[in-house]
Amino acid sequence: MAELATKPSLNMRSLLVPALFIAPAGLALILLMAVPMVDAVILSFQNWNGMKPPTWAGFGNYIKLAQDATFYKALWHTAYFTVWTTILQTVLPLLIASLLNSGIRGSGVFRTLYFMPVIISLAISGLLWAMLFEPNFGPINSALRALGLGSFTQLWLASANTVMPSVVIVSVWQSLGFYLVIFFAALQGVPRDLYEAATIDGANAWSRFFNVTVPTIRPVILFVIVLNTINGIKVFDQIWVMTAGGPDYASATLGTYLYSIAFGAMGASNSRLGYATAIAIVVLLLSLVASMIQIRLGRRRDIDSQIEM
Amino acid sequence: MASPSPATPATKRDRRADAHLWKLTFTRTLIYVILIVIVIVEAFPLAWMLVTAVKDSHEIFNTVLPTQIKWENFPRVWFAMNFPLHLANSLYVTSLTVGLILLLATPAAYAFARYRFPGREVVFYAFIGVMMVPPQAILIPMFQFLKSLHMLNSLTGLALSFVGGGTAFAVFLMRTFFLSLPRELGDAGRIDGCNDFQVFWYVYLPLARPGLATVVIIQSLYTWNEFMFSNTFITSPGSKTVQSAVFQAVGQYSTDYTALCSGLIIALVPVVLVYLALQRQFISGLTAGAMKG
Amino acid sequence: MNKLLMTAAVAVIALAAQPAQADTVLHVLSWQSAYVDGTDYWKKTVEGFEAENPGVTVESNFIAFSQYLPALTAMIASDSLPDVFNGGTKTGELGRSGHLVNYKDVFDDAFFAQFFKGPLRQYTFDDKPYGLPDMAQDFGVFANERIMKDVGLKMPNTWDELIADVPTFKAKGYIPLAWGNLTRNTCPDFFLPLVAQYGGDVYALDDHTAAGLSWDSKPVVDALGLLQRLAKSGVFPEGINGIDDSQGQQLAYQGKAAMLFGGSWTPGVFAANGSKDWLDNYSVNKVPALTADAIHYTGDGAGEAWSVNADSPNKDLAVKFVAYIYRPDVYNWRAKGLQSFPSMQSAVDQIDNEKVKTMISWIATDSADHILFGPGSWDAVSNVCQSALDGSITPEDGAKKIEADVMAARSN
Repeated sequence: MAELATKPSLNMRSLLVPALFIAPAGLALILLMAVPMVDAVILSFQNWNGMKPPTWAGFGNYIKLAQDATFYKALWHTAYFTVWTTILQTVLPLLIASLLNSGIRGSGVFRTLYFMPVIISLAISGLLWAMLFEPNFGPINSALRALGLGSFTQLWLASANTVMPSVVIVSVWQSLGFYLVIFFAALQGVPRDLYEAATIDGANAWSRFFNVTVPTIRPVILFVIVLNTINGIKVFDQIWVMTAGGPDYASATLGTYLYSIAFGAMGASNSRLGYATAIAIVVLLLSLVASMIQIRLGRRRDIDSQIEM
Repeated sequence: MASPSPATPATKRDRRADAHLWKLTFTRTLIYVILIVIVIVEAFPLAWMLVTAVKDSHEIFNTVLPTQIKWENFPRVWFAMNFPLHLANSLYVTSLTVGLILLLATPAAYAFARYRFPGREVVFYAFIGVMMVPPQAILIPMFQFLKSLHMLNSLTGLALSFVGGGTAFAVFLMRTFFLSLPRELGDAGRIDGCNDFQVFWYVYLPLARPGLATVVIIQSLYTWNEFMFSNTFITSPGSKTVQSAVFQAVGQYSTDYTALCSGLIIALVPVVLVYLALQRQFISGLTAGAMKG
Repeated sequence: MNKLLMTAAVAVIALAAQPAQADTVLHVLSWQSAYVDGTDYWKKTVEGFEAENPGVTVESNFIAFSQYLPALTAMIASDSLPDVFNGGTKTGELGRSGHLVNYKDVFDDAFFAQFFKGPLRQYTFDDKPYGLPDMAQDFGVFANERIMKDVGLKMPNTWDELIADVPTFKAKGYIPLAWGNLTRNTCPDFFLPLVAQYGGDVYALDDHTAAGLSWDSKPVVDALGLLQRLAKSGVFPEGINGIDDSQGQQLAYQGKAAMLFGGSWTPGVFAANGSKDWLDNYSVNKVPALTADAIHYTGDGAGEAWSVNADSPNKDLAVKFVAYIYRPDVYNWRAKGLQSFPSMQSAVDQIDNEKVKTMISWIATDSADHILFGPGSWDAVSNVCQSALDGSITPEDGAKKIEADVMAARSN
């Protein structure tokens, strides 16, 4: 960094100042998160139902996990959800933001309208969509029938075949406005003359999009992809409220599966807290690895603007 | 976008301009059609919620529009659920959480962006790691932790349970934001005799306002809407936040949809206001922050 | 101005100080919002107890059902259970691990004799009652008589009759029998009494300690087979796993379903939310049986029961509170207010709703267990129930899966 590059070597000052800046946050994180997180890691090596004293299990929970067919099912659904939401929640908002940025009137109104679903809590949107998806007389199937598209009606959440696409739809619906606002803001920062130069060179809209827009805002795209990935791997609230991972684990993700093991779907009397926490550790490791890879890939490709980290 | 008058005989050039204009009009119209279709898709569930809020409780799936509009659902819910109290509770938790997070995360984010020091990457990834913890996994450890602090059933305790994860996310977001600010500013400040803290406080912090607005919006939304922690850590009815109070309408076997929907709409008003007030700052904050992702 | 501020400050301090000088606080927790909403009967109950016990404040707490058991788990894990609470399906395990008061130690036989047998037995483990049922429940089929007349059918007495009637209902565009299983609560309520119809003993299965008894036994396979046959022949709404209970009720209110499966508390829900057409025309009937002269098995149990935290410093006071809320005159307020199936026999005459009265009368002949308390049983059954309904598992494999899931859940 500029102001430090002049200094010949590390000294106390170069460590002390940033340490002072970071200390409050670091301390808060240690105090508020480290204790619960360390507890969680220890718990993953124990068997505990919360009622009787815990017993040491060693790697027992992890070994059991490796042999648990439902765990692999949940892992697959998590991957499905993460990949689809990351693709759709990056591509669609980017395209729509480009439309909004094409100089049309009223883009502010559209942006505000698109942002409204973001304001609703995940739990509420889950409840709302569970009503909308009702297969017999729910608003969506009714609307399809009214439009003469009766053959497109689905069982939505009720069928193992359509439940995962349905929860992806809900996620895209809710997140579109959020990522759109990010992309729109980024697009506004792209210098106009870049587009003008491309237009003079005879580039059409598509080639301007791919040759000017995408490379210029690549860091933003990376940011959105990382955020989407982390949220995808962690996904829990909406799915839990809509289906509780059902029917019969057809929409179970790692997040809902660990919850149902820890607390029971709706009525289980025994909590397997150690086993549930072992799944949580897997979730944590997956997100950490995925986002480190993404950040590193993004950095290598974009060395100029990414010298920082 | 009026096309040229057809009365004058069109020259070749006119015709080309004409075709170009037509194409432009067509494209514009297409763009508007696409955008409006998306508005319909995005707004449909919300419109449905609004309509449900004023329906009779037995005609929820029956009619598209209510046979008679029952505005009285709003005052009914307002008084039955003691809304002012719960709004105040939510307001307290949200402002405390957001305030603490800004206080803690801003200097840390600044340091990660501006200084190079040994162990920076490791510490930074430790921060990001906290962001990735699924909240349901630490529900019980957090409960035990709050109990040891004697902060169960306490709104302050609830706010503290959000601060850890929130700070990590805010550092992640604000760091990229500080990265986007030109570092020459700091050098200039130093020449003027500012120390490290003064450079941060007088030079960078004022410029970081959009970044702060971004954190305020995202974190307020999250805290205001949070459901799992607030339902688990707060059991006494007087201390409930708005979201969990509204959920009283969701019973084990039956749901009072009209109460639920009208309650939710009331609960949304403050968040919409915060968004509208801060959206200008929010948008520039997100760009600047994200550009250097 | 200063004076005003001073007065205000003093007032605030005085207000803040008040709870501190107060008395013992008894923490009560349930998922019944009626017990925190300021309903007259609960208010009267709390105030009555406080009047009889000066220096005691009762604090009624509430957690929505969807979040109740997780919150309870967190409380159990950190030894911070409330004094008096609904233990739900965790009651058995909690009692057996010593966290709950065994009511046999504090109440005499005359006290227990006041309750209906089924619900009380349900909360009794190893001969120790750890919970006292608040409201009881059984199940029935509510039929819209206007629709039945329209299609020219009588309420079917057996499952085969019901299946045979399906085309007649469908020809007029009606769903024969509505209910919803999105939250998975209802399928076990529907399915477990079927196990009893086929001669199975649900409690013995749940307990799972009797030699040679397992979930993949014949009554379970047969009951799953019947459930699947009903689903396949179109008795239930399409996509029943995507409909929640309230939506099932809406189908009935709007005259889209001829019949509705529901519990003894649903007439109360109808009274609050039902359409006029439904309220004017609905009748209540036992669930169909296997054959014309077989027992119908309509369910028998209680979802909510009050337990006392054995580790609480206020244990004696908590027991006193429980004794108070089950004093017949006090219980009557609740029974009258809730108009549901009372768990105390003396409160039956508080029920004005004819439909509920009818359902109460079945319990003498048609009682069947329908709530599971054993580790993992409820989840195992409710998951397989969903698969049986959508046809993705055969009855034999379903029964095997229940058995395997229960064993896995009990392995640690």
